[in-house]
Amino acid sequence: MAQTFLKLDTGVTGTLPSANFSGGKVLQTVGGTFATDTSTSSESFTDSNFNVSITPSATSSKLLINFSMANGYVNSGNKDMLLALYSEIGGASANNIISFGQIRNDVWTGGGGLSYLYSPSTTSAVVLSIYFRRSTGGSGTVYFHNSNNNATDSMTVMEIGA
Amino acid sequence: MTNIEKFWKALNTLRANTECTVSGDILTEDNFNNNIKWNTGVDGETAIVTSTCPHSEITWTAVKEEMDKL
Repeated sequence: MAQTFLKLDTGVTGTLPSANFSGGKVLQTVGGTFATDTSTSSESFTDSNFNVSITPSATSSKLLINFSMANGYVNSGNKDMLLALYSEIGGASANNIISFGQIRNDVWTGGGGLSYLYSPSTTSAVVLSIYFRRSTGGSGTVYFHNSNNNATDSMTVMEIGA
Repeated sequence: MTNIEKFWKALNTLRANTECTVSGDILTEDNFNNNIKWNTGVDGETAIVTSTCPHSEITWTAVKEEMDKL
């Protein structure tokens, strides 16, 4: 098929009909930031209280989730910190949809994070939360956020139309 | 030593291996009552938590006393 070019820089007015385009549309974007000191001694996943809520407009939509961790910390000699992305749909219990990080002991981290394409198959509200925990068999505390350098965690969620 | 580090040391002194999660500072009794989620069990890989401390030996008075020693 011969290529067809649409020249838009001059002489075009009005709105192009969306039905002429298909796939890959960003339908909405939401995001949030987090800068509260948060730490745990829990060996099972626990809510960091950093979450972003989005209500997909169609069950066929996908959610592109980008999370950036500013400055997690594990004290020297303590066990590692594990991270997971949880999803709560329509007020039901939150479930782990992907475990994505492990921070070793005696390490500060900056700029670590996650990019994940999620298919919730719902038009109910979806709450995406970062959970964290200390690895089993350890002791002490792991820090999801420690404000020593005033950095900020961030999460952006884009609904991608089918 | 930061306030949070003092809290964790005080907690470990009062009751070792207590599992909980802290969001924000623990400077007042109000912080103690509202900024801590205490583990009471586990559902699969997820903690079951409560805002009410389930351990009788851990009170704001006892925690503050230990924190003030640090």
